[in-house]
Amino acid sequence: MIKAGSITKGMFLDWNGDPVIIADKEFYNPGKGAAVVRLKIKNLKTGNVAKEVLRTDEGVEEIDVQLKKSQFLYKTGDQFVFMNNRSYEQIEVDQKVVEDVKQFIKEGEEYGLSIWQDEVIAVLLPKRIVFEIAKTEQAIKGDTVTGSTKPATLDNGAVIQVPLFIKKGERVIVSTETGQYVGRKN
Amino acid sequence: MDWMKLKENRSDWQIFKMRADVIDSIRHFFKSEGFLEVQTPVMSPSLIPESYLEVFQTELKDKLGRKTKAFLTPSPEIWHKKLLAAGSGNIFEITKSFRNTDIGGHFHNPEFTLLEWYRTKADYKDTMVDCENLIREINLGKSEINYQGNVIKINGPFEKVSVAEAFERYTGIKVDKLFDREVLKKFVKKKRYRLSGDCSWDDLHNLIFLTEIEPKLGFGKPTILFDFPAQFAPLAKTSSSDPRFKERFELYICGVELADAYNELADPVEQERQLKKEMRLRKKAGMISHPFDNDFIAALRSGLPDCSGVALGVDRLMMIMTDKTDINQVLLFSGEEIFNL
Repeated sequence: MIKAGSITKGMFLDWNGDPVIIADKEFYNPGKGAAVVRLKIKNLKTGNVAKEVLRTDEGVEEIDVQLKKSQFLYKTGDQFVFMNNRSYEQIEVDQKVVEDVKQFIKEGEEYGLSIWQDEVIAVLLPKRIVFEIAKTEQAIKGDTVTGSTKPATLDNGAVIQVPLFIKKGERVIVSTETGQYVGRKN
Repeated sequence: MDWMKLKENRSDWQIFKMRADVIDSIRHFFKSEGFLEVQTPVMSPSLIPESYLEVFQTELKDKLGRKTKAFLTPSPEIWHKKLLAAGSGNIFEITKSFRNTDIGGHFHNPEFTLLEWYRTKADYKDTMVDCENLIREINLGKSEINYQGNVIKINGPFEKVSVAEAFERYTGIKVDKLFDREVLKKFVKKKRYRLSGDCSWDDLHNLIFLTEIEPKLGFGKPTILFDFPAQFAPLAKTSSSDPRFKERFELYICGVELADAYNELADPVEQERQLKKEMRLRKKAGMISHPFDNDFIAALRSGLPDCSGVALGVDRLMMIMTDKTDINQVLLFSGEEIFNL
């Protein structure tokens, strides 16, 4: 049992019997009354996202989740196949678990598989991932100051906005927190 | 905003160019309204006690090695009230304020920029007008602000809704039942809030407000939420129409609280009583102890003009103006980045 005030983003909790992950946390100090937190909770069973407000000393239960560091191998039908780095066992993850983050799933990249009661309930992402630009229009005149961007297709098929000076074949760093381009990879 | 990120993405400098322009607009607005810009210390030997925020403590040493505890001000109020008592007239300040433990959320930084202004011979309806005009000036005459896909129209009057009306509109709880703890308890139970054990009226009010009301304020137009239950604004004047409420207002855009304002209570006896209460609450909670600012009470005793004061979070305002969802994106060096938290 932990206090709501100690909840951190990414924590797994038991919410009325369902496994949930904390997608976001905000705190609030009312001028009078107990401090509270506002949580964005994703129910990993139903996929529902809800906002809840709790007093910071409200008790919540963490669930026992195992983390298996695994490499993404390939997709087959609606299963995403990963390989456990330590045991080399192959783990199949249903598409609906990966749905929200599939634009960050790339062959060969390492992810954290969160396992609860023998099921993968979430795929944890590294903070930044390096992608290669598979396709993008050549900008006529790259202007680094005005903030114009153009779409680019990454090597996993996802599309993001990049600065005009980025060319096909270049490697770029993408933040998995914002989904945005953060820089070029040297 | 990481400096390495700024180096890679030159376009992000736009945010900070806009910030500089907004500060200019703020100054221009108040100067054209005849306000005096003042600069007051961010370090003080004493503070007015507030139990809902924690402070930063440091130490002043003199050449003889004598040490005095010093504290970073959570707002410039202590100085401004002294200046008002000294006959300053209308004043404003854009300053840094410090609130310890305010780190880790999208809307807080332990060191933040506060715009605080006081209008004398005026009432909070006048400072509501200031807020409307200030936002329009900052938006450079454009009639709309776009935030996260929402269009906020600012040319017409802002929405004005009292806390009592907001409760009725968003929860169905009418004002004659608002102060009944059992009614709030029943509401919370029906809505299946996560709440164990007993809960004070204050806590129930806050949970309901933050869940049902705040997220809906300031869409379509900015919202001015006014007249708060008395216990939430002890240092504001009592409402002339309903003594259960005090004359305080908050400004919201897209669910984000940007400003907090009072019709200031000038009664030094009542102020001192409330502040001593806050001092006791701080002690009980084991918070950093600081000397009580007696000079503040002396200034109130010497006579404060009728006035209304407003504190506006400039960093949050910048988040709205640049369509950002995290305060780190509008600060050149945020607390989380430089302290690696």
